[in-house]
Amino acid sequence: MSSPTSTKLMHVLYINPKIRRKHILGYIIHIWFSLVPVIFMEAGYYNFWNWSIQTIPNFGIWIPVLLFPVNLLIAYYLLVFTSISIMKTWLFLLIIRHKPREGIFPKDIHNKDFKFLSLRNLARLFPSYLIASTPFPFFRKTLFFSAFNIKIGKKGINRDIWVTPEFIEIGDNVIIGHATSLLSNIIDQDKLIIKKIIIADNSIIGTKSTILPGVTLKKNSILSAGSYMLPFQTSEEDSVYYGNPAEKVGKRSDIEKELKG
Amino acid sequence: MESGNKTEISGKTMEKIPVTTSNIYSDRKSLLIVVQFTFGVLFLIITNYWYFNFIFKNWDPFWILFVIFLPLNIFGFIYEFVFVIAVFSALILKILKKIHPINGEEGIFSIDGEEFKFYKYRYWISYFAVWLARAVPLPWIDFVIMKMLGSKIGKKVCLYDSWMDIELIEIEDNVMTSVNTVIMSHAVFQDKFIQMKTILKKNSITGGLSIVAPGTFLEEGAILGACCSTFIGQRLESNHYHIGNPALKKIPITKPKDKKK
Repeated sequence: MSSPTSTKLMHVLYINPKIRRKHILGYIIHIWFSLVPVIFMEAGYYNFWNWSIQTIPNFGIWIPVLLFPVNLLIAYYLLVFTSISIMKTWLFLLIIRHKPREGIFPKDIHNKDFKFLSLRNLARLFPSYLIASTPFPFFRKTLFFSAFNIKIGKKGINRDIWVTPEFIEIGDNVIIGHATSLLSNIIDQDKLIIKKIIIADNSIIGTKSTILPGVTLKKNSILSAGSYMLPFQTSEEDSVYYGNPAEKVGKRSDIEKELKG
Repeated sequence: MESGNKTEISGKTMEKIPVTTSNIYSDRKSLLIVVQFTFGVLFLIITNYWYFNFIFKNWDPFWILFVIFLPLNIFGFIYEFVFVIAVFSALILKILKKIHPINGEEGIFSIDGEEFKFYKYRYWISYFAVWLARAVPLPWIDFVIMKMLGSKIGKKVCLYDSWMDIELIEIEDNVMTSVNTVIMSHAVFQDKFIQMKTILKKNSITGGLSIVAPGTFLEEGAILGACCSTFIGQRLESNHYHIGNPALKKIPITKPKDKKK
């Protein structure tokens, strides 16, 4: 339940260091422009502080003081929303230039798929960091999933996980245990593998499991804790998987009978 | 075996039941975090207001005091914020336990029952305090806050940044848990909910990246290997290494004197 906050629960964003160094100015501009509305808001709050001291004689200071936590929350969410809007414009321009696609590519700066993956991840870095740095419950699902174009269904347990923000589809009522990683793009020695992950309705993934690119978990399947699903592996419906690599161990209906007694 | 919401666990082999997660669905009860945050910020402002008011009114002679005491002020803010929120949440937990006494029974319950409802309350009340304890770089604050919130932790215990539940966990003296271990006392399915006590006796060790399922009992001197996991309700023998996923293989620990013979 209690996650170690030293392990930053951001999205998994691979950025090649050489590409990051070339485009670092864009990242700094991203942070700069996302701070501008917040500074204006705080200047307005400072004026409100002075106005309340002058107009209300004895207790004028207490109104802005009591509203200070609200001010902090609004400032944080304003920062998050402006950084997400800047991220979306930057991503839109990058996707026009080169559309993301699935496949196996060489790990080479001059390869367009590899280069543009790093650039897209650089655009997502700041908003992802901001969202992972506080535990507030407002807009959690939209900020973590929908804003990063991860399709996710209604109802589900999906806190404290590591996810790559491309090519992932999660269905309704899916339980994903804490410390799991859903990786739709990985680097395997000198190759970059990108393939969609599909997790169907009512499935369960235990804690600390890893799911690699191309995996499909069909309806009502269970992946027990600590297991690994290898690339391009598919599960059967109503089945239980366990181990490293994950192998079928039984049927979900048998386990539900055991749980009922 | 069903008695209303609950099915008994005694005498059952839980080896085949997959281990899921102790996280829960997001709820309106998570707004408690915002209540705790506002309370903490207001407490900080009200207790420090007189000091900053005095210095800013008499800036000319006393600006030196401000500069000298600024590092202490920052540390004081952090300590005060964390402890106020921990005490606040511990008090709410005590009141909740008096109004609806938590039995902490072991068993398999349905998600619509009362036991899961109180688990949700306990989860959200203690969430922010533990998040802060882990986010802030103050040593040993983990133990203090977890003990305040109800877990039993002994002396000389090594808790690296592990994913740990707070209720129904007993850790005795001299236990070592390694980096990134998962220690659970609850497991959530879509329609069921398992609750069991996990006990780590003296001098036991859990290896790195291991998963301790709800209900495991580590006897004195037992060792769970790295990257290994246990099944629900497993008992690990004293003075043996336990390896595997689940940890079914055991090797006795031999002393160097025995080897020479």
